[in-house]
Amino acid sequence: MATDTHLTPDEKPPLFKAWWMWYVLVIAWLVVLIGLFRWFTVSFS
Amino acid sequence: MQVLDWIVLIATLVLIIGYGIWKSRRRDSLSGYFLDHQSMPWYLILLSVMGTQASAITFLSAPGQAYTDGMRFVQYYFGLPLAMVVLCISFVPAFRRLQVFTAYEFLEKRFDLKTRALTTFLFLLQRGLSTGISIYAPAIILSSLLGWNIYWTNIFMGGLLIIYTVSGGARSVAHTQKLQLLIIFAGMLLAAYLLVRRLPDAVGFGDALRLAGKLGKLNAVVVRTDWQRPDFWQDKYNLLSGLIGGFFLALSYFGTDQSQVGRYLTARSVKESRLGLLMNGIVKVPMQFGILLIGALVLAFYQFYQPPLFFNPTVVREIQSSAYQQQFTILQQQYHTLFVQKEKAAWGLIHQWHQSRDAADAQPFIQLHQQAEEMRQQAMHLIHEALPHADHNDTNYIFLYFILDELPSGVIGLLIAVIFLAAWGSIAAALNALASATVVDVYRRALFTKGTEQHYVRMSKWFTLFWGIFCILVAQFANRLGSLIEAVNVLGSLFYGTILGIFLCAFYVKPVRGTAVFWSAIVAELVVLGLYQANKVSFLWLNVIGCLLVIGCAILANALFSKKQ
Repeated sequence: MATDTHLTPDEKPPLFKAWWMWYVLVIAWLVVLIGLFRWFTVSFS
Repeated sequence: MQVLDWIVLIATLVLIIGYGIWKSRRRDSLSGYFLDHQSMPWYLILLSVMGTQASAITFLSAPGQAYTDGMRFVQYYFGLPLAMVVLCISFVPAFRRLQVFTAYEFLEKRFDLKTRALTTFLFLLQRGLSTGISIYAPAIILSSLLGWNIYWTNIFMGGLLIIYTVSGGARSVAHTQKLQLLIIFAGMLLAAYLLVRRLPDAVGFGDALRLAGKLGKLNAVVVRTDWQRPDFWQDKYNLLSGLIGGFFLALSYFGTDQSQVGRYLTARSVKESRLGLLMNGIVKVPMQFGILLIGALVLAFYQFYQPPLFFNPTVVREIQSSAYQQQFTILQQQYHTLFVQKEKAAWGLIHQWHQSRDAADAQPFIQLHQQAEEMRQQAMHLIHEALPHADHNDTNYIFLYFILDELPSGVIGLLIAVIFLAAWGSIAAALNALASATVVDVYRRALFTKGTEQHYVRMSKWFTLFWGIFCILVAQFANRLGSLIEAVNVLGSLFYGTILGIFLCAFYVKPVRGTAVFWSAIVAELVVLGLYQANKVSFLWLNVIGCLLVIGCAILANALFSKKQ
């Protein structure tokens, strides 16, 4: 994924250096949720 | 409802309308009316995007869906975070760079006028119809609560929110959504807390979950790999259909539906739009899980308190005054007898769990529940036979019935207000979007090109009113659609795939030209409608098929046209 060095200060992401890190965070969060929900399904079935 | 409930309900609704009008400052340009001069921070974008998607249907129908079908519906949202990422990478920067009012304006810049016109038409058709259903959903509550005529209730329901939507445009919509969501979350948390508190003393939260789990209702993730079987593609909610079908549906909805695009176009920068959308990707799935969990807990609750055979009291009253009254009463008595046995079995299970969890045999309890479910099916068939025009699906009434029957005075008023506010948030955004597409993509582009800004703002208000009336009319015919949350999604899936295909061609298939995309979209839409009619695949897959067909056909057609030239 391309870095965001071309972005203006107004478009730079908060907390991270580049937007792709935010995208990875969102996808990782989804994976964690699916894992937790699967555990929830199996434990209570 | 008691006086206190009415006071809470009316005060909440008046607060929202007053707040919406207060926020409607003078709007003398289209940019002010539809984009609030692009001034909003990310948290308002987040709340506005969430408030637009979470309609009354979300809060009414989803708990009922979990009660009858389990929590597997949550998988439908798994594609949403992935779609948010794609939107942030491609859609948001493109829309912002071209400074468009609507998503469809972008299509003329990329392709041609006819592709823009076709996409606008598909959007207006789809969104106009589904907003009608969004009006109908809360209207059934008033109707069954007060015994009002449903047609008049629809008019009352759709009319109130038009006041601030017409006067304030996008700014009023976003600010009222902020307040609405705060009240909604507070109301739902309170409902969940009281539901757990209302369980019998010896039944804990964990026991309620175990009971719901034994009945197969905590099936939040269903992994199926038997894709060779034809029923795999008709299975509505599993991990694969949720991830792939849900991704395409969410990408279409958030990327091409003006009711959503119009929300994040109001952000003050690309950064604020992106943050709002990514936060939506983070909070939406857990939020939906929580709402569905309430439905599963309502099911556990009704293992200890007698539920009705059918949850729609209006239909029950009708069948009890028909020739089928005796058959229905016999079913009710049998259902009650079965409930007593089932309750005993549930208590037996709880006691065994408290002594030794592993030793408990849940089979007798599960079998009794299956018998009870079969009895409910028989009741639905009987209702269908006795009252062919009545809604014989009570999914949408389950949570409402619980609220009215079990929760204390004051809380009932608040939760009815929650359902109203949720409806208003999504309907207001939809009316604003329908008006913007009509004015920007049709009226200003093709019918009256030389008007002043004031003229277009005035026309935008008239078109908001027009669409409000149109959607109320649609609501009058929405009473035979089964689960409303599904009906809205099915309707969206009939058009979203095609629209998304057009946009993906615009972003990612650079050589393709307008004529190829236009004809491919028409072919794809006909195929999708044909597949839906033939009932061959689940509705989520229609988004994938429609989208891929547009892209595939457009590449092919483009090659053919290029050769000819």
